[in-house]
Amino acid sequence: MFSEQAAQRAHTLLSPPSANNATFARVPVSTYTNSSQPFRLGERSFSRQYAHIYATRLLQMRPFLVSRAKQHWGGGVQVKKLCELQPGEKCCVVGTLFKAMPLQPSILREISEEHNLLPQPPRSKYIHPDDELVLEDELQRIKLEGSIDASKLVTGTVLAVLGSARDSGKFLVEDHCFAELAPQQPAPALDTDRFVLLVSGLGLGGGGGESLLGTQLLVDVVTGQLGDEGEQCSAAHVSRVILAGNLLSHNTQSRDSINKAKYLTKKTQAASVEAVKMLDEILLQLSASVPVDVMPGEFDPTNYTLPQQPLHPCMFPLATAYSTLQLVTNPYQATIDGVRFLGTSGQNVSDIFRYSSMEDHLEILEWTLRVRHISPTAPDTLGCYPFYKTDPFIFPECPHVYFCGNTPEFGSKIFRGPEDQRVLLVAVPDFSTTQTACLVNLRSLACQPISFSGFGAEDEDLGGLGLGP
Amino acid sequence: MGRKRLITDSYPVVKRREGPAGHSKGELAPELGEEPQPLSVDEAELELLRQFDLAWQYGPCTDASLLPTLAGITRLQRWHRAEQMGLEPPPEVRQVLQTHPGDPRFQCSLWHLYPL
Repeated sequence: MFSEQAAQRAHTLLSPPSANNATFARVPVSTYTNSSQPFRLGERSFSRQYAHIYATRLLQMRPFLVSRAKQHWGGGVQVKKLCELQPGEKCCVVGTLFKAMPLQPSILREISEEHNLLPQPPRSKYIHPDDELVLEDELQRIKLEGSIDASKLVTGTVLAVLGSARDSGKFLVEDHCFAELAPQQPAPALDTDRFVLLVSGLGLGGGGGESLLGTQLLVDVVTGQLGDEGEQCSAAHVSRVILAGNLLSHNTQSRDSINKAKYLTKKTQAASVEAVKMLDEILLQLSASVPVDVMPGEFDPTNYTLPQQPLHPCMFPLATAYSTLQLVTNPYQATIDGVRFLGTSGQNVSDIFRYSSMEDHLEILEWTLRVRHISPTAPDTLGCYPFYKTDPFIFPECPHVYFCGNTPEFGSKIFRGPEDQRVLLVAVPDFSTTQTACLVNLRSLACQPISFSGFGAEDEDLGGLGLGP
Repeated sequence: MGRKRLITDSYPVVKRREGPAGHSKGELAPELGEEPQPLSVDEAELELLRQFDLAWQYGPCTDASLLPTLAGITRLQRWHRAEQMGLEPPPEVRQVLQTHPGDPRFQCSLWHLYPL
């Protein structure tokens, strides 16, 4: 799409300089609303227990699950609480799942003296064939067995199971169902092609110089300083850029200052200071030309627990002069030209990846949409703020574009829901390793990868520096 | 040395109270539902709030700190949360909480003095 538009114009690069300059006005953003208010935290108090968030999660999801259960298994299915179960009677129970994993890192086991264990080395996946599933509701819990795949599911999912209680005290599952997609407002019909560029994992301060070339190429393409008039015209159709997390590299989080003696580390600056200065310059170039939304990620200087709060504007003295720069929260929700976007910087998906047998990040993204919860493993294995009133990670309505950043490779898919909902799922790859960004066309809800590879010293072929697939 | 010490000396001495009709020993236990003395208004309200805390339908109510203003979840917060969820908490509880603002015996839950 992007490059086809570019190819339509006549080539003007090798022609003599003309008297009149061609100017391309960027498409104006007709409507933009930031709906991330549920993810903003006001006064924070961490002395609450996490029981409240689980209780509100179950309470909020229960009506959705009961209606889905009735749709799947007939209106006559009995929905009971665990305390009302009779052995042998077939019924449906709604509850929160807990997966007991022997390989899950447990701080209690580590510091327990009787075991004398060394801390476990980090693994990529903590699943084990012996994992057990337990269903909990407000008052009781029961072990699940039967036709339910324990390796795929994770703790914190709210689901409905159909089956019967055995005399052994376990629940034999015949079938299970999730809350599926929330209702969706219809997508608006746009008349021109408008693009939103999704990038994640810029990885500044990482020490490697190759990715900086890619980043600079990206900035140049978006600001229209690269390419022919055709490419510049296409770039003018990019109405917004969303930076989905991990703007700083993992290397900026070095813990040397904690391990070394104070006299050795007194004069050294944190690596993130230099990286933030670089980020400020890049954001200055970008926000001078296009509205930018900056989401924090796992390695960025903001809080660790989800929802991550926006980066502080004092870190970007140059770029905050422009009102087009918006610093937003980590699960980010906005309506751009009538198209609802919802996305995270990838911590939710990578956490589910660690505790589930699902391999593909796009598949995990689709699964979170079907479970109707952005991050079911929070607060169990992913840090989360102790909410007590509502669980803001439950989808109130279905977005049109649902993305997650920092995946190992690009992926995009159109997912259709049971009530004719249509969602574009985008797995935005890590830019510092793949040099690929994603262009979402708001009119057709299609996504296209755009890669900015430069020539490395090892590269034999000159296939880089291309635009489009 | 006085008389021989009995184990029952460690218990407080309670004089048997005369019943309302003047009977002494052998009277029947007071009938169910009839309080020996009417509870004061404050105590009745506190009892209502305690029952609200113990009701599991309205969600967990644990409060994990000694400072009621900064931590945990107060009864009023729990009441509002239950109302938002559509659980229909009793309106009398809210009225009682509003007539005694700032009093930690009313505002904080049953367990607020226990560090949890």
